[in-house]
Amino acid sequence: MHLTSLTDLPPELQLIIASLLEDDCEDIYSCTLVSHDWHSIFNPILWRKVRNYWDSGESSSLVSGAASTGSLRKYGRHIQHLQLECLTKDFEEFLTLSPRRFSQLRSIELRGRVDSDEMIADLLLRCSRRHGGGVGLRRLVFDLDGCGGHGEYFGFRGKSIDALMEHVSTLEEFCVEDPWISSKEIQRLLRSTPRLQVFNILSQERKGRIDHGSWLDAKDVRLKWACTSLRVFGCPIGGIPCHDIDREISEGPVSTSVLKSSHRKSLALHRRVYSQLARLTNLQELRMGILYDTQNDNYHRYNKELDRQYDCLAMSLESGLDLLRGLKNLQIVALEDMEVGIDAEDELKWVAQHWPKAKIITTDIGTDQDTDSVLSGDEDRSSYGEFEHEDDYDDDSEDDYDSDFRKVM
Amino acid sequence: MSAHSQILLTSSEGTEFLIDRDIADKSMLLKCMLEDIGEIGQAVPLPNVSGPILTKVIEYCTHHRDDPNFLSANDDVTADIDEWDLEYCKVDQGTLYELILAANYLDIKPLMDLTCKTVANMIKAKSPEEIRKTFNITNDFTPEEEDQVRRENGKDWVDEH
Repeated sequence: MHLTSLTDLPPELQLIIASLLEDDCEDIYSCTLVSHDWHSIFNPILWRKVRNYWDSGESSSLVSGAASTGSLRKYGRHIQHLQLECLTKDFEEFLTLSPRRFSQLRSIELRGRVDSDEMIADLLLRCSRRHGGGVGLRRLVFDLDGCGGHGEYFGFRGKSIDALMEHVSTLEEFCVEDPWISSKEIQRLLRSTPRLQVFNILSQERKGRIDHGSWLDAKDVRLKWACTSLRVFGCPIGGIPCHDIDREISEGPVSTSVLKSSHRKSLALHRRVYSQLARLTNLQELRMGILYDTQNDNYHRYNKELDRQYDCLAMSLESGLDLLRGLKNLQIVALEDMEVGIDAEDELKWVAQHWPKAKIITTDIGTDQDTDSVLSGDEDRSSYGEFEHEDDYDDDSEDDYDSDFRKVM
Repeated sequence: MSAHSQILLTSSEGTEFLIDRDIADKSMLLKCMLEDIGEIGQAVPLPNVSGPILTKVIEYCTHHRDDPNFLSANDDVTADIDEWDLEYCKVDQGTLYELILAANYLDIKPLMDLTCKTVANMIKAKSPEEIRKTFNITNDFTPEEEDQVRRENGKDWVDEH
């Protein structure tokens, strides 16, 4: 056999060479212009990654480009990674100009202001195995702002949640910052996504509206989670009664903030959740805290004491923390603004022993509620591995280290 | 089986090559075959590989025979190619493509990565006309067709990184 040209190689070898240039769009673009043969090799590679950012002030390059040539419909089937930042109307136009099937699509990043359940469902179905003949999504990253002045947020509710469920067998990364997802659907996802490695639904900014955040209700944790390869779990877990808080919260009676129930019921719910978390033995990041956008103008107006998670896992040995002793790979345990007891002496010893690599992040409420220290001093604390406080209020966190709420846990 | 045993290979033209077993083991195809059936005492025919190409392949495997990182040698596609490998790949394009075919057939991943990367590097940072010149390709697009490709692939909305 005598080979004289790149195009004499078998297609799979041509593809290997072309893929080496995949990260440089300029090179691939030049290759598509070389000849007909080269166009047929390199054009599908060029279309693997498509992104578009709409600028509301200008006509979109995607829409004008695709409309004049029909190329999105022609080559859209090659798209593997789609990155869009747009408004609902742009998204609608994108769908109109797209092929009915995205058979190669495996990663979607969607940002901007899109609030249409139907449209999101449409996109998810066009790349599903069953409806779109696709390979199934591996990665879904949504970060959607509210639409209009009143902040209507997209949520996985109607058709979109069913369309999302079409991808559970392939999904590896699910990060949704703002779309809301119900507790029952969170549980449904966790028990049906065997390949999931990153699950993060923590909102990066609360926008002053605690009720927008998605969280998992311990009551919904019933069937076993399938996602045992999970490396990152980011999701508040609530609905757990806290029987032993008896102080006032934000100068009001505790009953307005804390779920009350029997000790036995609280323990049962704790164990139900711990036993699922315990199966995630590859976990590197366990994030359940509330994240505030400290840059937000309204940040200092939040009443954080009311927003604090009181119905969360207590993260104390008494509540069953020891069930999590197998999570040896934990590097980050983020418990911001949670009423937890993980920084008591016994728990710190336990953490040092079982989670040797873990950095624990809790919030020091920094009020004047400080009472006696649980630990005797810094020297003792430093011997318990890495421990970090996120002080949201001021800089004198050293003095505020042991605040009242930790003592009561 | 002795660690110093030798294997006889026959190229497509029937030329015989006697090589050390550890050199043959660089090819996953030969390694698995020899492990499965043992040394059969007769030549292993390689009908897809010509003598000159087999000579080049053996040269590569011999140079890297004691390389502890042989299998992961060219994993990083962005890393620079080592000097000896760079010289080794200074061959005409036909030979380079045949080396790719042989490396693929014999399943020698580092050689496959090296040769493919060499071709990719010949394409990098060139205009379409420069690529045509490098690969001796005639532009068979009409000006209208070329213009259509440009419009279809509006660069501003196909990923640029």
